[in-house]
Amino acid sequence: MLWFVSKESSVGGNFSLTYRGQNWLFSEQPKQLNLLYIGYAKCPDVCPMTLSVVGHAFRELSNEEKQKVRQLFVSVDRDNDDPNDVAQYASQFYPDFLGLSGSREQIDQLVSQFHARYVVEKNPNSYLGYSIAHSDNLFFLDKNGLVKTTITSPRSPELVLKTIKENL
Amino acid sequence: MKKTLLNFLIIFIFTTHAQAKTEMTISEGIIYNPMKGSIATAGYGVLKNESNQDVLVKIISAEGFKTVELHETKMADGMMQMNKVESFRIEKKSSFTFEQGGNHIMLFNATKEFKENDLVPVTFKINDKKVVLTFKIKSRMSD
Repeated sequence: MLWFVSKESSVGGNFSLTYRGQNWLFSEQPKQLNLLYIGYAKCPDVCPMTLSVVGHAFRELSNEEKQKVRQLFVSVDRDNDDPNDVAQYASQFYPDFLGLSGSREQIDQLVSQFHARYVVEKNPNSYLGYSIAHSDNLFFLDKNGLVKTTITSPRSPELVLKTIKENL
Repeated sequence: MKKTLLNFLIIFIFTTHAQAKTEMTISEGIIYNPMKGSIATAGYGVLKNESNQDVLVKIISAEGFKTVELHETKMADGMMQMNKVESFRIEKKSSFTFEQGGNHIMLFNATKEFKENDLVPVTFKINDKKVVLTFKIKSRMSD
Protein backbone atom coordinates (compact mmCIF):
# COMPACT_ATOMS: atom_id res chain seq x y z
CA MET A 1 0.00 0.00 0.00
CA LEU A 2 1.15 3.49 -0.80
CA TRP A 3 0.62 6.48 1.39
CA PHE A 4 2.29 9.74 2.09
CA VAL A 5 1.91 12.70 4.40
CA SER A 6 1.85 16.19 2.98
CA LYS A 7 1.86 19.51 4.75
CA GLU A 8 -0.64 22.11 3.67
CA SER A 9 -1.61 25.53 4.92
CA SER A 10 -4.38 28.08 4.44
CA VAL A 11 -6.69 25.37 3.13
CA GLY A 12 -10.03 24.74 4.81
CA GLY A 13 -11.77 26.92 7.37
CA ASN A 14 -15.18 26.89 8.97
CA PHE A 15 -17.98 24.98 7.24
CA SER A 16 -21.59 24.02 7.80
CA LEU A 17 -23.26 20.65 7.22
CA THR A 18 -26.02 18.60 8.83
CA TYR A 19 -25.94 15.90 11.47
CA ARG A 20 -28.99 13.61 11.48
CA GLY A 21 -30.85 16.31 9.56
CA GLN A 22 -29.99 19.13 11.99
CA ASN A 23 -27.75 22.07 11.17
CA TRP A 24 -24.18 21.47 12.18
CA LEU A 25 -21.40 24.06 12.23
CA PHE A 26 -17.74 23.15 12.54
CA SER A 27 -16.92 26.18 14.68
CA GLU A 28 -19.57 25.44 17.31
CA GLN A 29 -17.65 22.67 19.05
CA PRO A 30 -14.26 22.34 17.40
CA LYS A 31 -11.67 20.11 18.99
CA GLN A 32 -8.01 20.90 19.16
CA LEU A 33 -7.55 18.41 16.31
CA ASN A 34 -10.28 17.40 13.85
CA LEU A 35 -9.85 14.63 11.31
CA LEU A 36 -11.93 14.86 8.14
CA TYR A 37 -12.59 12.19 5.51
CA ILE A 38 -14.91 12.70 2.55
CA GLY A 39 -16.60 9.66 0.99
CA TYR A 40 -19.95 7.88 1.10
CA ALA A 41 -21.61 5.26 3.28
CA LYS A 42 -22.38 2.81 0.48
CA CYS A 43 -18.70 2.67 -0.47
CA PRO A 44 -17.76 -0.95 0.31
CA ASP A 45 -13.99 -0.71 0.10
CA VAL A 46 -11.97 2.47 0.57
CA CYS A 47 -14.21 4.41 3.00
CA PRO A 48 -14.71 1.60 5.52
CA MET A 49 -11.03 0.73 5.25
CA THR A 50 -10.07 4.31 6.12
CA LEU A 51 -12.59 4.61 8.95
CA SER A 52 -11.44 1.32 10.46
CA VAL A 53 -7.80 2.44 10.23
CA VAL A 54 -8.68 5.66 12.07
CA GLY A 55 -10.87 3.73 14.52
CA HIS A 56 -7.94 1.51 15.44
CA ALA A 57 -5.73 4.58 15.91
CA PHE A 58 -8.31 6.22 18.19
CA ARG A 59 -8.42 3.14 20.39
CA GLU A 60 -4.72 3.62 21.10
CA LEU A 61 -5.13 7.19 22.35
CA SER A 62 -5.13 8.03 26.05
CA ASN A 63 -8.36 9.32 27.56
CA GLU A 64 -6.82 12.79 27.73
CA GLU A 65 -5.88 12.68 24.04
CA LYS A 66 -9.34 11.42 23.07
CA GLN A 67 -10.86 14.58 24.57
CA LYS A 68 -8.84 16.70 22.16
CA VAL A 69 -9.52 14.95 18.85
CA ARG A 70 -12.49 13.88 16.75
CA GLN A 71 -13.19 12.23 13.39
CA LEU A 72 -15.65 13.72 10.89
CA PHE A 73 -16.92 11.57 8.03
CA VAL A 74 -18.82 13.44 5.33
CA SER A 75 -20.99 11.65 2.81
CA VAL A 76 -21.11 13.26 -0.62
CA ASP A 77 -23.90 10.85 -1.63
CA ARG A 78 -26.66 13.36 -1.03
CA ASP A 79 -29.18 11.40 -3.12
CA ASN A 80 -28.75 7.96 -1.59
CA ASP A 81 -27.24 8.18 1.89
CA ASP A 82 -29.87 8.89 4.51
CA PRO A 83 -28.40 11.31 7.11
CA ASN A 84 -29.32 9.01 10.00
CA ASP A 85 -27.66 6.11 8.19
CA VAL A 86 -24.48 8.13 7.71
CA ALA A 87 -24.40 9.02 11.42
CA GLN A 88 -25.01 5.43 12.48
CA TYR A 89 -22.52 4.09 9.96
CA ALA A 90 -19.65 6.28 11.15
CA SER A 91 -20.25 5.63 14.83
CA GLN A 92 -19.71 1.89 14.41
CA PHE A 93 -16.03 2.44 13.67
CA TYR A 94 -15.64 4.42 16.88
CA PRO A 95 -18.51 5.68 19.01
CA ASP A 96 -17.49 9.35 18.80
CA PHE A 97 -17.07 9.45 15.03
CA LEU A 98 -19.49 11.96 13.49
CA GLY A 99 -21.19 11.01 10.23
CA LEU A 100 -22.26 14.21 8.49
CA SER A 101 -24.44 15.03 5.51
CA GLY A 102 -25.60 18.27 3.95
CA SER A 103 -27.34 19.98 1.09
CA ARG A 104 -25.75 19.67 -2.33
CA GLU A 105 -24.47 23.24 -1.95
CA GLN A 106 -22.97 22.57 1.49
CA ILE A 107 -21.26 19.40 0.29
CA ASP A 108 -19.85 21.01 -2.83
CA GLN A 109 -18.66 24.02 -0.83
CA LEU A 110 -16.85 21.71 1.59
CA VAL A 111 -15.27 19.69 -1.21
CA SER A 112 -14.07 22.86 -2.92
CA GLN A 113 -12.83 24.36 0.36
CA PHE A 114 -10.59 21.35 1.01
CA HIS A 115 -9.47 20.93 -2.61
CA ALA A 116 -11.04 17.49 -2.64
CA ARG A 117 -12.98 15.95 -5.54
CA TYR A 118 -15.79 13.55 -6.24
CA VAL A 119 -17.58 12.36 -9.36
CA VAL A 120 -20.83 10.39 -9.41
CA GLU A 121 -20.52 7.77 -12.14
CA LYS A 122 -23.56 5.97 -13.50
CA ASN A 123 -23.06 2.23 -13.58
CA PRO A 124 -26.30 0.63 -14.84
CA ASN A 125 -24.73 -2.83 -14.90
CA SER A 126 -24.13 -2.76 -11.17
CA TYR A 127 -26.81 -3.47 -8.57
CA LEU A 128 -26.20 -0.07 -6.97
CA GLY A 129 -26.54 1.65 -10.35
CA TYR A 130 -23.73 4.09 -9.66
CA SER A 131 -20.44 4.52 -7.93
CA ILE A 132 -18.71 7.60 -6.63
CA ALA A 133 -15.08 8.27 -7.41
CA HIS A 134 -13.65 10.40 -4.63
CA SER A 135 -10.45 11.78 -3.17
CA ASP A 136 -8.79 9.57 -0.59
CA ASN A 137 -7.44 12.15 1.84
CA LEU A 138 -7.50 12.22 5.60
CA PHE A 139 -7.29 15.88 6.59
CA PHE A 140 -6.07 16.99 10.01
CA LEU A 141 -7.71 20.31 10.89
CA ASP A 142 -6.93 22.74 13.67
CA LYS A 143 -9.68 24.31 15.78
CA ASN A 144 -10.32 26.87 13.01
CA GLY A 145 -10.81 24.17 10.41
CA LEU A 146 -7.52 24.90 8.67
CA VAL A 147 -5.61 21.92 7.34
CA LYS A 148 -2.50 21.20 9.39
CA THR A 149 -1.52 18.11 7.47
CA THR A 150 -2.98 15.44 5.19
CA ILE A 151 -2.48 11.72 4.78
CA THR A 152 -3.29 10.54 1.28
CA SER A 153 -4.60 6.96 1.09
CA PRO A 154 -4.46 6.31 4.83
CA ARG A 155 -3.83 2.60 5.29
CA SER A 156 -1.80 2.44 8.49
CA PRO A 157 -3.29 2.92 11.98
CA GLU A 158 0.24 3.48 13.25
CA LEU A 159 0.78 6.41 10.87
CA VAL A 160 -2.59 7.93 11.76
CA LEU A 161 -1.83 7.55 15.48
CA LYS A 162 1.61 9.10 15.07
CA THR A 163 0.19 11.99 13.06
CA ILE A 164 -2.52 12.64 15.65
CA LYS A 165 0.03 12.71 18.47
CA GLU A 166 2.34 15.01 16.49
CA ASN A 167 -0.48 17.48 15.92
CA LEU A 168 -2.07 17.58 19.38
CA MET B 1 -2.91 -53.82 -31.67
CA LYS B 2 -5.63 -54.07 -29.04
CA LYS B 3 -3.13 -53.25 -26.30
CA THR B 4 -1.86 -50.19 -28.20
CA LEU B 5 -5.40 -48.94 -28.72
CA LEU B 6 -6.21 -49.45 -25.05
CA ASN B 7 -3.08 -47.55 -23.99
CA PHE B 8 -4.00 -44.71 -26.34
CA LEU B 9 -7.51 -44.54 -24.90
CA ILE B 10 -6.22 -44.49 -21.33
CA ILE B 11 -3.78 -41.68 -22.13
CA PHE B 12 -6.47 -39.74 -24.04
CA ILE B 13 -9.02 -40.03 -21.23
CA PHE B 14 -6.47 -39.10 -18.57
CA THR B 15 -5.24 -36.06 -20.52
CA THR B 16 -8.74 -34.83 -21.32
CA HIS B 17 -9.79 -35.20 -17.68
CA ALA B 18 -6.71 -33.32 -16.46
CA GLN B 19 -7.36 -30.47 -18.87
CA ALA B 20 -11.00 -30.14 -17.89
CA LYS B 21 -10.32 -30.24 -14.19
CA THR B 22 -10.55 -26.85 -12.51
CA GLU B 23 -9.28 -26.74 -8.99
CA MET B 24 -9.78 -23.49 -7.13
CA THR B 25 -9.05 -22.78 -3.49
CA ILE B 26 -9.48 -19.71 -1.32
CA SER B 27 -7.21 -18.70 1.53
CA GLU B 28 -7.82 -15.92 4.05
CA GLY B 29 -11.31 -15.56 2.57
CA ILE B 30 -13.23 -13.00 4.61
CA ILE B 31 -16.37 -10.94 4.20
CA TYR B 32 -16.74 -7.90 6.40
CA ASN B 33 -19.88 -8.00 8.48
CA PRO B 34 -22.26 -5.46 6.91
CA MET B 35 -22.37 -2.20 8.84
CA LYS B 36 -25.66 -0.64 9.79
CA GLY B 37 -26.36 2.35 7.55
CA SER B 38 -24.87 0.79 4.44
CA ILE B 39 -26.27 -1.85 2.11
CA ALA B 40 -22.85 -2.76 0.71
CA THR B 41 -19.91 -4.69 2.08
CA ALA B 42 -16.85 -6.36 0.63
CA GLY B 43 -15.04 -9.67 0.57
CA TYR B 44 -11.33 -10.39 0.23
CA GLY B 45 -8.94 -13.32 0.04
CA VAL B 46 -6.55 -15.15 -2.24
CA LEU B 47 -7.94 -17.38 -4.98
CA LYS B 48 -5.51 -20.03 -6.15
CA ASN B 49 -5.89 -21.79 -9.46
CA GLU B 50 -4.32 -25.19 -8.81
CA SER B 51 -5.19 -26.52 -12.24
CA ASN B 52 -3.07 -26.79 -15.36
CA GLN B 53 -5.14 -24.35 -17.35
CA ASP B 54 -5.95 -20.65 -17.26
CA VAL B 55 -9.44 -19.97 -15.97
CA LEU B 56 -12.03 -17.23 -16.18
CA VAL B 57 -13.63 -16.49 -12.82
CA LYS B 58 -17.11 -15.03 -12.49
CA ILE B 59 -19.20 -14.70 -9.35
CA ILE B 60 -22.76 -15.95 -9.07
CA SER B 61 -24.07 -15.66 -5.53
CA ALA B 62 -23.27 -15.53 -1.84
CA GLU B 63 -25.50 -17.13 0.76
CA GLY B 64 -27.18 -14.47 2.90
CA PHE B 65 -26.83 -11.63 0.39
CA LYS B 66 -29.24 -10.45 -2.25
CA THR B 67 -26.59 -10.07 -4.90
CA VAL B 68 -22.84 -10.11 -5.39
CA GLU B 69 -20.44 -8.59 -7.93
CA LEU B 70 -16.75 -8.43 -8.76
CA HIS B 71 -15.26 -4.94 -8.52
CA GLU B 72 -11.93 -3.24 -8.91
CA THR B 73 -10.79 -0.10 -7.13
CA LYS B 74 -8.05 1.99 -8.64
CA MET B 75 -6.62 5.46 -8.31
CA ALA B 76 -7.37 7.59 -11.36
CA ASP B 77 -7.33 11.35 -11.73
CA GLY B 78 -6.44 11.69 -8.06
CA MET B 79 -9.58 9.84 -6.99
CA MET B 80 -10.35 6.29 -5.92
CA GLN B 81 -12.58 4.83 -8.63
CA MET B 82 -14.61 1.66 -8.34
CA ASN B 83 -15.86 -0.29 -11.33
CA LYS B 84 -17.78 -3.50 -11.74
CA VAL B 85 -15.96 -6.18 -13.72
CA GLU B 86 -17.58 -9.28 -15.20
CA SER B 87 -14.69 -11.67 -14.67
CA PHE B 88 -11.06 -12.10 -13.75
CA ARG B 89 -8.59 -14.38 -15.51
CA ILE B 90 -6.27 -16.49 -13.39
CA GLU B 91 -3.38 -18.22 -15.10
CA LYS B 92 -2.66 -21.87 -14.41
CA LYS B 93 -0.95 -22.56 -11.09
CA SER B 94 -1.34 -18.89 -10.13
CA SER B 95 -3.07 -16.82 -7.50
CA PHE B 96 -5.39 -13.85 -7.64
CA THR B 97 -5.73 -11.53 -4.68
CA PHE B 98 -8.83 -9.68 -3.58
CA GLU B 99 -7.50 -6.91 -1.37
CA GLN B 100 -8.64 -3.68 0.22
CA GLY B 101 -8.18 -0.77 -2.16
CA GLY B 102 -7.92 -3.16 -5.13
CA ASN B 103 -9.93 -6.01 -6.62
CA HIS B 104 -12.70 -7.08 -4.31
CA ILE B 105 -16.01 -8.87 -4.04
CA MET B 106 -18.91 -6.50 -3.46
CA LEU B 107 -21.96 -7.85 -1.64
CA PHE B 108 -25.31 -6.10 -1.34
CA ASN B 109 -28.28 -6.23 1.01
CA ALA B 110 -27.65 -8.93 3.57
CA THR B 111 -30.77 -11.04 4.02
CA LYS B 112 -29.78 -12.18 7.51
CA GLU B 113 -27.80 -11.05 10.53
CA PHE B 114 -24.25 -12.34 10.64
CA LYS B 115 -21.93 -12.78 13.56
CA GLU B 116 -18.16 -13.06 13.77
CA ASN B 117 -16.76 -16.24 12.19
CA ASP B 118 -20.01 -17.23 10.47
CA LEU B 119 -19.26 -19.11 7.26
CA VAL B 120 -20.62 -17.83 3.94
CA PRO B 121 -20.64 -20.13 0.89
CA VAL B 122 -19.88 -18.07 -2.21
CA THR B 123 -20.60 -19.57 -5.62
CA PHE B 124 -18.21 -18.77 -8.45
CA LYS B 125 -18.27 -19.84 -12.07
CA ILE B 126 -14.86 -21.13 -13.02
CA ASN B 127 -14.91 -21.40 -16.80
CA ASP B 128 -18.17 -23.35 -17.16
CA LYS B 129 -18.18 -25.05 -13.76
CA LYS B 130 -19.81 -23.84 -10.56
CA VAL B 131 -17.47 -23.89 -7.57
CA VAL B 132 -18.48 -23.04 -4.01
CA LEU B 133 -15.82 -21.50 -1.77
CA THR B 134 -16.28 -20.59 1.86
CA PHE B 135 -15.59 -17.15 3.32
CA LYS B 136 -15.61 -16.19 7.00
CA ILE B 137 -17.48 -13.20 8.41
CA LYS B 138 -15.24 -10.70 10.13
CA SER B 139 -15.98 -7.45 11.93
CA ARG B 140 -14.46 -4.28 10.50
CA MET B 141 -13.01 -3.49 13.88
CA SER B 142 -11.63 -6.94 14.73
CA ASP B 143 -8.43 -6.57 12.65
